Amino acid sequence: MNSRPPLSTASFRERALAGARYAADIIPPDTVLAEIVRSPHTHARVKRIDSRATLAVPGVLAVLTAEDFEGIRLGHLCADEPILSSVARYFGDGIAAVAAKDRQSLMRGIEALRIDYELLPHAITIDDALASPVAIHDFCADNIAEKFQAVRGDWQAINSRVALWVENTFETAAIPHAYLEPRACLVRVDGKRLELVCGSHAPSMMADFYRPIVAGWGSQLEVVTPAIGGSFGAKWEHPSQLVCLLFAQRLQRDVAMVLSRRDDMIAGRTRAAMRIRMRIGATAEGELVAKETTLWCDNGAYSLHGPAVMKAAAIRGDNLYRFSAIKADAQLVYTNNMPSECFRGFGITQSTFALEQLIDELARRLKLDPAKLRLSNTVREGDTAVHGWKIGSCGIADCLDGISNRIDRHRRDNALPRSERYRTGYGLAAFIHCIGNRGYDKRFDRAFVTLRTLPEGGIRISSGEVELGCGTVEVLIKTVARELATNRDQLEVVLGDTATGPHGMGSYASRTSFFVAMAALDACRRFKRAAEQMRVEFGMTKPAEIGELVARARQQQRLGDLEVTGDYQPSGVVVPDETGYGNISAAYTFGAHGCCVQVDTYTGKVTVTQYWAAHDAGTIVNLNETQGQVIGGVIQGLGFALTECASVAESGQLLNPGYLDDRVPTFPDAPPVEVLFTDTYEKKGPAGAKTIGEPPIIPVPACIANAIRDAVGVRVYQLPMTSERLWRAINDDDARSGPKGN
Amino acid sequence: MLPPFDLSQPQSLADALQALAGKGDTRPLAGATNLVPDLRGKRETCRDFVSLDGVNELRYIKRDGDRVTLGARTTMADILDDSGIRTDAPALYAAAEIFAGRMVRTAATIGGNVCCGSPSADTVPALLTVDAEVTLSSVSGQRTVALDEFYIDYKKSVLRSDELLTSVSWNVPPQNSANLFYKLARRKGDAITVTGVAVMIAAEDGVCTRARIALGSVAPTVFRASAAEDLLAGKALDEAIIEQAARAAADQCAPIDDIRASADYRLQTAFSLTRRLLTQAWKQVS
Repeated sequence: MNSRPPLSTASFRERALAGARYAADIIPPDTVLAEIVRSPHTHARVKRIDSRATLAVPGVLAVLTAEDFEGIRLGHLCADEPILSSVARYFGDGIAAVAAKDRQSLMRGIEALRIDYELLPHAITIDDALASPVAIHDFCADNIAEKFQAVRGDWQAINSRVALWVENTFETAAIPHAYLEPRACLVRVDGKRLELVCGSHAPSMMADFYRPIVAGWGSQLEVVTPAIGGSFGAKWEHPSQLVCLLFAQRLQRDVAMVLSRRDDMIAGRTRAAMRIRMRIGATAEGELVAKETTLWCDNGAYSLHGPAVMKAAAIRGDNLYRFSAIKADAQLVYTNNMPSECFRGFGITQSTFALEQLIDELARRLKLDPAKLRLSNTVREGDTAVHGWKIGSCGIADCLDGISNRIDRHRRDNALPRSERYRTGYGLAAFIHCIGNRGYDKRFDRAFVTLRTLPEGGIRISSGEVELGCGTVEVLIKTVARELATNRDQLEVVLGDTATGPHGMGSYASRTSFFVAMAALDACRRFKRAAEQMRVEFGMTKPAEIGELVARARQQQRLGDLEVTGDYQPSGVVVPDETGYGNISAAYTFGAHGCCVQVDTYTGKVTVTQYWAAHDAGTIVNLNETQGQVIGGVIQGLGFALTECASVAESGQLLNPGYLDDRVPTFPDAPPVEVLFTDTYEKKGPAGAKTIGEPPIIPVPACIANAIRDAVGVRVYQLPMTSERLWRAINDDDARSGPKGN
Repeated sequence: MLPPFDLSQPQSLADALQALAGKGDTRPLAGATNLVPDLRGKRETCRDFVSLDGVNELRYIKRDGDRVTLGARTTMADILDDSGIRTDAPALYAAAEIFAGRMVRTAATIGGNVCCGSPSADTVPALLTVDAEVTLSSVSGQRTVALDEFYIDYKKSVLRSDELLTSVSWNVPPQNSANLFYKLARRKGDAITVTGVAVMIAAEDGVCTRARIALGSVAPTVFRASAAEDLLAGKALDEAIIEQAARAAADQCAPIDDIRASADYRLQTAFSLTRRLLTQAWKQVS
């Protein structure tokens, strides 16, 4: 196995030209196939599993059940997810697993498996779960997985300053991550060594987490990352991987599992649905003073990153404005829904739907321009924001100006006659986001990049970080080629291979480009130092060609001395306290979006006719890919705003486990998107750069909601803002009177 | 995963009809854009299919005077590529344009869309507004049935198990006519229709000489709103009569709630979309 060369990571170009190989492409034909047998009930105790008939099917090799994973639970923040469960806690929970030598035997084996259930009452709404006498987990009688509270500022003092409160309750929907590549994994066996090949945005962290489990079975583990067909926060630890690992360890054969689209959608993960009651208070002149949030987050059956997502939703967006006082009170509630997970924007996408609509409503009540109201209240360079974020470079004013100008010009140039049928409106929304999060892992927030000079020539750049399609490969090649003055074709990139590369935290918190570029800069410095030392040692005269030096080093078998690992850890960051206070990130990104919508009042149909997205992402490294990420995020947000939701029956069954009825936008749905970047230089970043990553989705639902309000005078406080919901709001006179105070 | 099934691949219409004649539960397979998802989703129980892939004689668009005939294997992409359908059946062209997505349009056939019997089949309302007829063939002969009389109930038609729908034909609409289709759906591409409306209005000397209104996704089958049509024929249309006709069309609907929309929303949009399309059509012809 060790002779197998590391899998070089596909660049953006290779992916676009279908040259990338995903986990399912790598599975050899004779690999043992595994599948998980999923509960057809939403909440049920497994009374008995009879696998005799399954094991009698020719070709079936083994069956696993909860007993085989006794004591093993997934979840960094709350270890509550069994690998296979003796209690089904959601429709699709994994109960047993079958491995067979081919697909036919596997299907027959699964059909032959007998599982008897004892049905339990289920709770699929937050209210039902809070009222339910039935505990979804034995250790949690009230179904409240976690609570969070934060209070800042002098609430006595603010009461005299607030002239106007605006308040409402907002609801966001659970939606699948809707990546193109369904979950797939392959486990290769070499004696005691297991190699897990799967698309994951955090392979080293997976390895950190799985290694003690695998060690308990007497084996070692490495993780290899092939091309990843989208994750958006979903693809990392998942029971399917541990099932394959245990089958492979027991059978001593390579084992693979590729989830069908249906299984991937009923037992993948979702964005956490939330109910957010929020109010903001301002002075009569429009100075934002206070914000109070009460939030309920639907955890689903298991916690994963639920606690962190809930906390982020409760307070993180506040850092954009100079609030004097903040209150947040949040609850994470277990329900019998599919487990929720982090999803592009990490909860802030949900709460921005609430905050940015209230800001818009405040501007309306105070008869102030919504862009100007924001401009006069946002944080600026040098500020310490309300939750302790230390604001460095900050392009929010340019973003708001840019959007405001675009909207004004469009309104002037497209003076559309208002018909009874069609109404046009404009909306705007803003956001702040981090670059890495020191609070995510108590140990550290850092990245490594290793440069290894290869005997056959060229340099291999390796890192534990991954390429999610965000341009990590390109950032590394550009940085190293520039710093070492080498040709791009001399550089090869291997990402997310725990056997041959350094540790990496993974692609979350919009950190990757920033962190890998900083670590690559450090690696290049170290490389140049090592090369200089070797040059002196070899007695070569300056300026020595790098190629010449490498040739000498190879001759003398000294290439190892040119292997260096660069390291980056941001300075001045802290793990926030239990109320979420602290500077979590080296720098922050900003942006504002604007759009023009046309509403068909007969049907409630919303057409976004033009969209503008202005981002402060620091100095832009890869213009094409960055623009692509912004446009992708906007279109993804359009789905979250208008069409997507996991439709769950009262029985708890997911009714739309496929892309026909999970209404992700299609190409014809995509509006024209103009992308603007501010001219910002972040001095803590690599060559002035910040990142893009999550932000493009964050303001989209609020931006569209504000445009709808402008067009037809009503709001739909619930995502998705479907045609039918808007049509009802338009035809409901109560909705016209503005936000209600419930 | 697809279950195992038998597939015969005749290369001529005669062989295809023979293959259908012999056995009990045998079904034709054309673009398979519905069939494959149904097989995967275990909604389709048939395990014996006759592929029409090799039956190229069913893939044509023919014109004979005012008569247009489409072979059943004609795809949505073929309809869009043809230079004449846009004028020969404007609503059908519009339906083909927003039919599913590009990939499906290259495979899905007109015969398949008509035969699947789904109330949300987008070409059917359009075809009903041009009084289309379908030809049903079997080893024992062929018959022609008005599309309006083809459907019996939800996914049920007069087509016998040994019969194959071989063509769809209609007369080109009169000179001064408007033929429109609107699909209300949850998104623009790859969407299943929430409410589909097609209308045809022909006029002479300021009087409506022919009115056709067909609605999709609002009843167990696509249907013609005949009471509404009767209200319009022979009259000079105005806002009041259009409103009355739209109301009559909505009265004939029997929609259901599903995950795409409520029955109530379907009913209300059937009314407002019918009113809108009739108004637009009348504006074009008067």
